[in-house]
Amino acid sequence: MDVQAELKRETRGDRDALRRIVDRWIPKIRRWAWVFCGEAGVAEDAVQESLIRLVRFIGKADPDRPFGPWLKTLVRNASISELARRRRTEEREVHDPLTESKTSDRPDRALDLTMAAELVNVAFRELSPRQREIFDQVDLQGRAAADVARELGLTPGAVRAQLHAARRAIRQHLTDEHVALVREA
Amino acid sequence: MNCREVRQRLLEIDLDDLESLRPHLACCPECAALVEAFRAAEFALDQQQEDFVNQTATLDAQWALALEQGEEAHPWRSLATGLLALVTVCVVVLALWPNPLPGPETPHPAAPVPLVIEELEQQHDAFDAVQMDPDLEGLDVQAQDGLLRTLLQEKTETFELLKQTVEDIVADDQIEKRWKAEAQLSLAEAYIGLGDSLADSSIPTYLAKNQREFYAMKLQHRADGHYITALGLCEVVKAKADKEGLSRLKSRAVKVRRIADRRRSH
Repeated sequence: MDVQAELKRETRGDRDALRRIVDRWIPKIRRWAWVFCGEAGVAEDAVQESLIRLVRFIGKADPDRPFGPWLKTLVRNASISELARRRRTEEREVHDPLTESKTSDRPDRALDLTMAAELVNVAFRELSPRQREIFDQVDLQGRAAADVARELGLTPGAVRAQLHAARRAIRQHLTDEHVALVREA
Repeated sequence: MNCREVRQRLLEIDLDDLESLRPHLACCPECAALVEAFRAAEFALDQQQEDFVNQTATLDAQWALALEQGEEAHPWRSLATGLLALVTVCVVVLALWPNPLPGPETPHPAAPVPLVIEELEQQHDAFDAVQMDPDLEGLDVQAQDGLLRTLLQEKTETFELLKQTVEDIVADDQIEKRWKAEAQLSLAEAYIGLGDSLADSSIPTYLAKNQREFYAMKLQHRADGHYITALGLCEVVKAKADKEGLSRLKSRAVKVRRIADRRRSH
């Protein structure tokens, strides 16, 4: 059964229909939350907040229009709220994975996979949500820049500019650390 | 091509399309190692994302909570919950009132957050809530222009309100220096948010391709201006935090500064 039909059932009070929609869309919800938030810990809370909002606002979804863009906006707003809430209600400890990694026991001082993951996480978090989204779609999911541009309502030039900025930020960060480590070795 | 040129190109190039750099990479182990580091990082990020996306063990619990909290959100229920909480607080206060606990006065565990800072946080939430990238598909010229203009106006107004509050905080002699610096850092974050909104703003779909690129370039230019202002504010906060010995605030200012710097188009 398609989403539109499930939505129509849901508006008649069928909560099982809503759960079926969630089951179908949860990978997308989780991917969007991860991209919008930039880190798994915050994204998990954003997923929870998105589900709460979905229950609350599902009645406002138009069964005659595509469901994906509506849901994506909802996840995006939930993610932004979650990020804002975190920023202002928690005392943020500034973690520096680089320092933690450097002080750990690494005999060869190589930029191994664990360290690469730590470094890339820091750089990825600091991209804008739009840059994260474009980097994810093109470089991680392997989609064509032109398709991504069409989907996001941007020009291909704008997508390329954002993609290059994202790559540059991530790779510059890695380069700086890589060179420092090679020098240390 | 020397190492410097290759590394410049490596910063933006597609890692699956390295043909032009092959001769250099074949004879330079350092640059080849850098490429491997980039690949390892992307692979790691991809793996993390896949793990996160496919992790559905918590879905049942999350869904149960969503049903509970989502359905509780009706206004009359919120009102009833609020009233119940108020009554409970009154009962507790009345029960304790006639017999205050004796003993020495204990110092307050932490300086309370000034009301105006809490107000600033609320204004920040309102500012964050305005998103400037609506779906314009299917809207005519006037509707697109009207929607984008309204959102920009709303974003600017919520920003100006926040900025005015920060200026009031900075000018208020009754407020501690650390809160003034906090407010300025909050303003720096808002400038970054304003820049992001402009850079990510939807572009009217009725424009021709070259017009859309020009429009996007103009938005990016304005966004860059906001990122630069944020950089300046972070420097101010960092200097103040240094002077007052507020190490955590200083770390945050450095972090926000780094974000603003990375967002600028180079």
